[in-house]
Amino acid sequence: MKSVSLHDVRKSYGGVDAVKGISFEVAKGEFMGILGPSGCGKSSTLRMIAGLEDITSGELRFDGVVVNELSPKDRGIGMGFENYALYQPLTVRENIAFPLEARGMPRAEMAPRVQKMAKLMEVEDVLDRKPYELSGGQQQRVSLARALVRDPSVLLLDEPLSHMDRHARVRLRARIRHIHDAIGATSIYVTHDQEEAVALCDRVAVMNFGDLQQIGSVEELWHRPRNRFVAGFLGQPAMNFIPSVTVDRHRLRFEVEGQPTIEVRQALPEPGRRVTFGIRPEHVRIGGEDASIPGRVVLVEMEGDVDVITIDVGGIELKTRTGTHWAMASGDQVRLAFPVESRHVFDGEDDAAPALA
Amino acid sequence: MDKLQLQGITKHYGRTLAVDDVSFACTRGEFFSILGASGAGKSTLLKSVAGIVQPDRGRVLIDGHDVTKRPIQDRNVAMAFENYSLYPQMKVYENIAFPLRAPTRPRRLSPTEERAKVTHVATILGIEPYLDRLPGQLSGGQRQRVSLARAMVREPNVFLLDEPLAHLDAKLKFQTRTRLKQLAVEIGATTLYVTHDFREALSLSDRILILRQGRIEQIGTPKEIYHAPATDFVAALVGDPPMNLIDGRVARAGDRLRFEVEDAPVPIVIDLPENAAIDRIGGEGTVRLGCRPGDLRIAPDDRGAIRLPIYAIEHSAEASLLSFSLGHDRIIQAQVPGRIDARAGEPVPIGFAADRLFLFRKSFELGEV
Amino acid sequence: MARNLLFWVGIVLLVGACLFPILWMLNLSLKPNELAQAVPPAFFFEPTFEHYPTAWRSANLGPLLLNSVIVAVGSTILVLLVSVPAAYSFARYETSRGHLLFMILSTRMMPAAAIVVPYYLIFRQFGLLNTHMGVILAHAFFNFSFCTFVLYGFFKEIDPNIEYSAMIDGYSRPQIFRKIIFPLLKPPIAVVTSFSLMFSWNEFLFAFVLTRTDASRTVTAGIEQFWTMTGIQWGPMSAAALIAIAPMLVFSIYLQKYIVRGLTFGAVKR
Repeated sequence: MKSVSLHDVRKSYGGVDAVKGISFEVAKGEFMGILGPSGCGKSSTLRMIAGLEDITSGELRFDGVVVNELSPKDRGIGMGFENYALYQPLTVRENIAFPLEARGMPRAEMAPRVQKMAKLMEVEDVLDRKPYELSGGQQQRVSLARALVRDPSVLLLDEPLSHMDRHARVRLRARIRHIHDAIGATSIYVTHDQEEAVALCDRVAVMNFGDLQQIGSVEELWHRPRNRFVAGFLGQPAMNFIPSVTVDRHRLRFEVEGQPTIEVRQALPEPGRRVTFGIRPEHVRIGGEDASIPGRVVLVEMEGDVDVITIDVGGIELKTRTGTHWAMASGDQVRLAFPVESRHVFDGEDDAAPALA
Repeated sequence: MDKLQLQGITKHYGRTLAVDDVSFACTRGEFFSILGASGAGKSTLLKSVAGIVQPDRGRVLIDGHDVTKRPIQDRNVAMAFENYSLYPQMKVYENIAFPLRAPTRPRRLSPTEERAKVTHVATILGIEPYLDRLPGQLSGGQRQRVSLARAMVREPNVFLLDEPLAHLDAKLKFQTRTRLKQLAVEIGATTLYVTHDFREALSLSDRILILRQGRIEQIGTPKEIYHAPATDFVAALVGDPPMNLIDGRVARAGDRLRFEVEDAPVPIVIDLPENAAIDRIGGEGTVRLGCRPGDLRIAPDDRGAIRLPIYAIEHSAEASLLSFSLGHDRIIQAQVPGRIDARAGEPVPIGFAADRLFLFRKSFELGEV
Repeated sequence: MARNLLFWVGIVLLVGACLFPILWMLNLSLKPNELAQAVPPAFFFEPTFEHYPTAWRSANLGPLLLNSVIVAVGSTILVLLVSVPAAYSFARYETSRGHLLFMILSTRMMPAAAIVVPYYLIFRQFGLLNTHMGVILAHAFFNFSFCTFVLYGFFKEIDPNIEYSAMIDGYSRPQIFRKIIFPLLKPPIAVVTSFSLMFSWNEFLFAFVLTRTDASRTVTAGIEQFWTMTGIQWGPMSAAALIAIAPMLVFSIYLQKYIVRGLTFGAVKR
C-alpha cells in the first residue's frame, strides 16, 4: 500500500472544469472519503486516480512518484465498483484469481493467495459458486477480494454500498472498515451519502462544484465546518440556518418576527452586516433555564428512538432531533436554547459563506 | 364511518400472486401508510383503489359505497405516481391546474381562483419558481414535487401517493416530508401512502400496514410497529441501524429462560426476562432474538455481559457504532452515544438490556452480508 | 489537430459521394445534347436551359406530378389512419407482440419484383389497374409495417401512467387523446408522414406495372418515357428527374426539425 497525493489536479471536459485544481494527500493506511452531491467532481477525481480518465493538468503521485502517465493496470489500483462488476461466467474462485492470472502468475503461487483473500472476506464457502448465486453483499465482498488480491497500491471504492438493502448495507460497511484495518490498506471511498462517509472514514474531503470545500476529520467537519455548504451537507436533518444581522462585536439579531438577539463567541464583522446563524438539530434544546427563543411546535415526526420536531421561530422553521421522551404536540408553545459552543456564524447568505471563528 | 375500506383484495398478474386477501380500513382524515419492499404488492393495492388495477377478488369501498367496478374518472381520488407521469408538453402550471379543469369537476374555477390554488400548493412544495417551465427542464426532485402538487391541488375523497419522496435527495426529502404532512393535515385529507422507507412511514403516518409478498404482516401505529414488532420481518424492516437478529436456542433453566447461540466464537448465553413472549414463539426450541443496536450496552460491570473483540468501529458525529462478529457470517452491532475510546480487535463487554429484547419465530433467512 | 483534419476530409468525401449523382444529373440537365455522352466528360460548357421546357411538354409532367401528389398523399393518409391506432393498441394492450415483429419482417422479406406479378393479377380482377386507388393501396401496404413499427416504439415511450393520471384527474379517453396524447404525437407523425410520402413519391416498380395510362401514372414511372426507341434522351430525362425530386427535397428540409426529433425520441432522456 502506498500514500496518494494530488497536486493541483484538474479535469476539464471541452473547456469546462469538472474538477478545479484540487490538492490533498492520503497517508499510507488512511481511510479517506470523498463526499459531495452528484456532479460535484468526486467521481472524476476517483477515475483520475484510477487512471480511467486523463488528468488535464496537475500531478498525481503514489509514494511521491508521479503516475500521471501510467495506464490503470500499471498503477496497481484495486477498485470496488457500485455494481460489483464481477465476471458472470467465472466462479468466485476464478474471479478472485483473475487479476493474478492476467499477470501470468503460476497456479501454485496463485492458490494460497486466493485462499487467504477468501478467508479474509469470509467467502470461502462459496468459492465454487457463480456470482449470480450470491447475495449482493457477498458479491461486493468477492469484488473486494478481487481488488485486493494482488496487493494494490491503493484501494478505490466507488459507492460500493449503493445497491444494497439497508440491512446488508450497515453490516457490509462494518466489514469494509474491518478489512481496511486488517490489511492496513490505503483506501479512498467515494460517496454522496454523508452518513456512510462519516461512519467509515478517518478523514473526509467534501467537494462541490468541482472544488474542494473542506478536508478534515469527521469531528472537524462536524464542529468546525469551513463554510455554509459543508455545514449544511453533513447531518440529517441538516443544520438549521437563520438569516441574521450583526448588532455588535459579539451579538447578532435574527431576521425573523420578534427579532431576538443572541450572543456568540465568534468575532463578528462590522454591525449591520447580513450573516447566517447556524445550529444543528442535535444541539437545539427545548426548555431549560436559559431557554429564551420562543417558538411554536409545527410537527412532531417519529423516527424510531428519536423524534424530529419542527418548530416555527418567528416565521422560520427549525428542526430539532431529540429522544422520544418529549410529549410534544403541534401548536405547543416552547422556548429554545442554543448552547453557546454549538452556535455557528457564516459571513454571508449563500453556500460559499465562510464560517467565522 | 370509514372513509376507505378494502375487503379481501386479491390480485394475480399472470400466475404471480401480487396481493393476497388484504383487508383494511382508513378513517376520515387518517394518514395510512403501506410499507414494504419492492414487489410486495404495495402499488397494486394503491392502483386498485384508483381503479387502474381491477382486483380478481375483493371490494373497494369509499364512504361505504362499493366502487370496485366504477370507472377511474368517477372515483374522485387523486394520485401521485412514483415516476411522476407529468404531461410533458404542458408547463408546470398547466400540469398542476389540469385536474382543476377536468369536465367532471362540479364547478369551473375562475382564472384567479385557479391561480391562487396552484400557487398555494406550489409554494408549500417549493416549486413556485418553476411554474413556467416544462417538465423536461426540471430535475427529478422538482418533477416529483410537481407530481405531488398536481395530486394535492384538489380535494378528492382519498389521496393516493406512490413513493412520492423516493427520488428526492436526502435534504429535500426531509423538507418535503414535513411539508407533505403539513399539507395533509391542513386539508384534512385521507391519505393512502406507499413507501419502502420506514422513516417516512413512521414520521408521516397515523397507522402503518406492513406488506410482505402480498400479505399483511402487521398493522399498527408507528409506536406499535417500532416498539412491538409482530415478526422478525417487521423488526428487520424498521429501525436504523437495523435491529440485530440472532438465531439460537431457547431453553428453560430452572425458573428462567436461557437463550444460547450455537457455535459462536465465545459462549453466548443470555438470560431472558419472565415477560419474554415465549408463548408467541411456540415454546422452547430454535428462536430468533432481536435487539436494537441502541439497546446494547458496553457495560463492564454487567453480570451477564459477553466479551467479544470489536470487529469494526464506525463513528458518526454524535455516536459510535461497534460491530462484533459471531462467526458464520453473523455480525451484531451496538450503538453507543458519544465517541467511544476503543480500537478494533479489543475485546469489550457487551450487555443485553433484558427488557428490550424481542423473541421471534424465524420467518426468513438472514441475508448473508 | 490532425485527427480533426482527417474527420473533415472523411465528411467531405462522404457528402461528395452522396451528392455526386444529383450533381451529375444537374450537370446533364444543363448540357447541350451533343456533349451528354462525351468521353471524357466535358466539364466546361455553355449551360442551356432548353431541356426543362422540353421535358415538361414532351413528358406531360404537370398531370404526372399531380398524380404523384394524389398517390403519395392518399397512401400516406391511409397509412396514418391504420398505423396510429394499430401501433397504439400494440403498445398499450400488448396485442400480439411477437406477431407484430413477424408481420413487419414478412412484408419486408419479399423482394418487390417477386410480388409485383401477383399484385398485377389481383388488381386486374378488382379493376384497380390504371387507377389512383390501385397505386395508393400498393404503396400503403408497403408502408403499414414500417410506420406501425416506428409509432409502436414511440407509444411504448409514453408512460401509460400519464393516461391513468389524466383519468384520475377526471378526463375521459377521447379527451385524453385530444389533450395529452395527440400533442405528443407531432414528431413521430412527421417522421412517419415524410417516410411514407417519400417512399410513395419515389417508388417506381409498382407505379410502373400497375399503371399504363398518363391519367394514373406517377412522375417517377413517367420518366421512363425518355428511354425511347432512338436512344436515351439524357438532357430532358435529367431535367425531368430533377423536377420530380424537387418537391420532396423542399418538403424534407421543411420538416427536418420534426424528423430529427422524432427519430431521436427516447434516445435523449426527457
